[in-house]
Amino acid sequence: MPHLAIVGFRDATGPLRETYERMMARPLPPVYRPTHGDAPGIIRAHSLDPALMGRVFAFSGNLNGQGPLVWAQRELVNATTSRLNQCFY
Amino acid sequence: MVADPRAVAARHPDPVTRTLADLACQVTEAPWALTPGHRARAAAVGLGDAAVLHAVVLSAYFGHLNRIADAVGIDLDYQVALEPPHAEPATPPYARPAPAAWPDPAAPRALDVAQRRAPPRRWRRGAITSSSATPRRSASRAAR
Repeated sequence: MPHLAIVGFRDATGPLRETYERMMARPLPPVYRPTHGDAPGIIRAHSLDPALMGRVFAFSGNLNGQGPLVWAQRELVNATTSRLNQCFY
Repeated sequence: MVADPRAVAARHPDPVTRTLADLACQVTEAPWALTPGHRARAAAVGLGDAAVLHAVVLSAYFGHLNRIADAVGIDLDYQVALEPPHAEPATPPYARPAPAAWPDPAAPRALDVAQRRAPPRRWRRGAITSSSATPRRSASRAAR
């Protein structure tokens, strides 16, 4: 259970809803889209501050969308890091 | 999920995979221990400096996201057969160098402000007075 309040896309209004819509409109491989239909949990974790959400994931999008490493190599680095940090999300 | 990242870094048959896993392990566990040797090993398998930089930045950014995910306590996005543990007690704590291996703060360092020569006065004046946030009188006094 989350320790902080989280507002998902379905309940979002105003700037939060606009931020969700902007983020969900980004090109994204289908495998990254959760089957529950809402935004991924790591994005919803920022829902108390839509402006912060936009800034954090603008960085993420820029970082993951380009560069010398291919997708599988980026995923290897990400998964290795998460495993060592014992983050099972 | 990578079951045993250190084993991937040590024994994966693909040298690029080994190198990237090793970089992610180093950045996550002991970023200060990255050495020119890591850069040389990366170059030997075709990973240039930009690729090393991207591996470092990605690993650091995922460390950031990992902490948010755990601190906020978000639920999993996908159905899994077995709920993962929040932490794994069998994993030993991160290695910390013995005090004898800590760097001497008094030793000369590669980049030390005191070792740098003062920039030319003309450059200082230009750099300080070009800032519109600094009143002209204070800026010219500081540039002397």
